[in-house]
Amino acid sequence: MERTLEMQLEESIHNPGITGVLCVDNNGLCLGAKGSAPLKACGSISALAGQAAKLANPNGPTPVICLESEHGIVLIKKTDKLTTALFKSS
Amino acid sequence: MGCCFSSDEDKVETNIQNPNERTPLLYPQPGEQQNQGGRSGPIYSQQNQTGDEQSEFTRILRQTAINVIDVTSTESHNIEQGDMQDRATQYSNRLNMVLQGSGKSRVYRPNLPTGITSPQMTLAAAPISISDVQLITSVSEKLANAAREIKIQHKESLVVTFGVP
Repeated sequence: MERTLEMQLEESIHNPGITGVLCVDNNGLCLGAKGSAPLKACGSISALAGQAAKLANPNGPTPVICLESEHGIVLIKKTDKLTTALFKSS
Repeated sequence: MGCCFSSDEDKVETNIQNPNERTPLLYPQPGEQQNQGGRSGPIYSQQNQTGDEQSEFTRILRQTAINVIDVTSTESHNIEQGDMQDRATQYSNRLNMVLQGSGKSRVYRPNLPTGITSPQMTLAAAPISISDVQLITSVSEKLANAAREIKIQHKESLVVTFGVP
């Protein structure tokens, strides 16, 4: 069940520099969050990953989106049914 | 009694004697046709490539147009310009009144990073490192595998009888 997802989220937030992890489905529904990840950004992250995937080769890997700011970066990647966002402080 | 090769000659002669709108004025030589085909080869492949990009672009546009609900196309033709302006002003006034009253002026802020003050520093900096790309790739793969294990179990009825004795 979702315990495996919770464990993976907990494990991923222990990477150096990671302050938050978000896990969103294709409709923008938040499936899990850890750390200081803003829950309001779920829909925007899912939509952003979906638009970026349209620009990439449909047979190749999905693109990695990087939002840069002064306080850190947000790494976003979409898999077939899930979009993952990592919030990393600089 | 006709012979085997008489039919083609007859056709050509008939076309020339009775010209219509489809009769070519100049018959191209076989050598010329080959040369033209050889020269136009790369042009055709380029056109095909451009056509693929164009069709892909058209597909994306069509998909985006399907996802967008065009509210202006349903009523705007039936409303005069003056009424349209009045309604827009009325709606914006009411929206402003509600937003000021509730104290939520920035409701739709998605809490994503809001730009940078010195873009030249960010643009001049090194791009995202390979380790970060590998990190997000591995994390997203692990989370996707974990999410596949989630199975929704039906526990109780979603339809509740209400007010039925």
